[in-house]
Amino acid sequence: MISIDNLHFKYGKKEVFNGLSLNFDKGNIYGLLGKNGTGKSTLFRNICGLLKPQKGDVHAFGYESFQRNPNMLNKIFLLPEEFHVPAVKVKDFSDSLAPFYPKYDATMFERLLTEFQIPLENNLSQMSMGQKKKTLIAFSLSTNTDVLLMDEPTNGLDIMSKVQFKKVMSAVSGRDKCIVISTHQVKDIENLVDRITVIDSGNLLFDQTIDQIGKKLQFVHSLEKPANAVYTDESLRGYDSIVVNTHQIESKVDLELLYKAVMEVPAELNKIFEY
Amino acid sequence: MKDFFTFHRFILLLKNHLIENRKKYVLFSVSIFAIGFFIVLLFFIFNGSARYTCYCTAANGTKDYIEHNRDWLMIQNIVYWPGLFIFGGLFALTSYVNFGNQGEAIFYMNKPASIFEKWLVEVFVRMILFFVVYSALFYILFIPGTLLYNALERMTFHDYYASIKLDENHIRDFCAGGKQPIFESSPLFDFNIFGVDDQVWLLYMVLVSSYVSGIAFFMYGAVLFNKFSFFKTFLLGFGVFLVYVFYALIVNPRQNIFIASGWEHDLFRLRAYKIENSNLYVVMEESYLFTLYAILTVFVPIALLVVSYFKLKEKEI
Repeated sequence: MISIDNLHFKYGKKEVFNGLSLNFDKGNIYGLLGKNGTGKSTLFRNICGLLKPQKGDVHAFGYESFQRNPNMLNKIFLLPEEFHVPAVKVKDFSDSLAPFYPKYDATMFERLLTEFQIPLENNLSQMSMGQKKKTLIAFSLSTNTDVLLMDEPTNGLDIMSKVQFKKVMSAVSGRDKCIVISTHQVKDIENLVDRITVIDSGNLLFDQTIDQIGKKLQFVHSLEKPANAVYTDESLRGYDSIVVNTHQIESKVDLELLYKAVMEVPAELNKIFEY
Repeated sequence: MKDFFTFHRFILLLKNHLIENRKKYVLFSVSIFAIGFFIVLLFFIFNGSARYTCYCTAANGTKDYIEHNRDWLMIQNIVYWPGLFIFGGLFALTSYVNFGNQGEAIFYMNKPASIFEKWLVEVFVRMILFFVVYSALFYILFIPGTLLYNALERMTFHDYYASIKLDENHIRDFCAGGKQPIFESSPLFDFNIFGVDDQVWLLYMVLVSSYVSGIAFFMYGAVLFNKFSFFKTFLLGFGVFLVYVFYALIVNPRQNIFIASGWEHDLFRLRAYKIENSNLYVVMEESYLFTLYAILTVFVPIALLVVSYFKLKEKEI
């Protein structure tokens, strides 16, 4: 669906990507993780054709992204971190924008708005930031685009809204869809994503499915530091560690711990997945 | 071709644009109307029904004007043309959303339509739709205004002639054969105010194409600059004007800037001269140079519009 090949991108002299290659395929919900300023939003904007790569290729559905082909744009929906909604009623917003998306589902939109407790007759200009975001999340999911890019979707949402978000996201994932959620709040996407992609300093640091991670790694809590730990994080009540999974049972993945490990010891972790 | 343009997508985008901006546009239209109404109101307060137009009919049927009042035509032209340029320019400066706001820019650029369709919607809304709505507002204001003005003029005319109708000799001073002068209504919007009866179409072309040229320039500025496009475009335009003045007044003060050397004209006068042996000859009729100016004002907006399309195509958010 999306292929990024040898992407180089700079803002002035500040280098963001230095030869990044990555694919996003259907049937996956990706958790795109990385430190602030590492280029997650820039990557999304390159995919949507909002930015032009200085070198390398970014293709979506066979189209070069920067060509901004309408047949590509109607298959991708980007929910940006800094979003905008026009000052119109929710109904007018959806009625005027929905016809651009061939697979748009109006019933689903109404159902999701009900879930988020947002009346269809409300005016977007009179809503809080969180309500606006939830409306846009509902609309983005209802477009049923093949690719959905969500940049920090839980930013600005209260605890209950985050719970609603998780519930809604779990219900909409499908085999023919590719959802990429970029966040630095890993707790918000726990149990939601099925693949973890970490980028740092313009390069791909880690890219594995949750299944593979659970099979290869074991996330343990102990009072004493395990001798065979790949990575250990000291906590108030002992140690949270990652060890090589030698059992046949799949371990539950602790995303926060995994992320810390990827940032600290990427080479050691990737070595485990080579076999 | 379908990737480039489909009529269906264009209509969808236009509808979407109008729905998202209708509040702003209605407010803008009401403001324009209110300003026009205020100017007309001032005109009525200070000038209304002061004079009128009347004529006598000569033996050969031609009109022999005793009074020829053109105040109403003047106010219509004063309101219409500067208003068209000022409000049209302001409206054009808001083209292509606010590229300075990343959220707005992403929302706009990600709409599943081609760049050409996005560009075309802007051109249609800023140039054609604005022109139509602005002209409609003008007529909504000036049709009843003309009726009122003519009623007041007619009243003044009748009052005046009623007051002197008993004086037979006095009436004969106005029209031969003791006929009464005939009242003539002031027309609704007429270019004859400029005294170019035989070149009305050309004046139309020059004014409208100047308007289009101005709009195209402001649209270009809106897509060129990300932040503060309003001021930057204005400064750019002022800079272009200064270059023109510098060239025309300082570098080559009597050189025609439109065509090859040997032709001369003043800065703001559209007339070409040639000097031979210290004698000045008019070598080009005013109308020809006028046509040349008209062609230039047509060419400039087309070029600017094409450039603004390619700028939008390469725009990064």
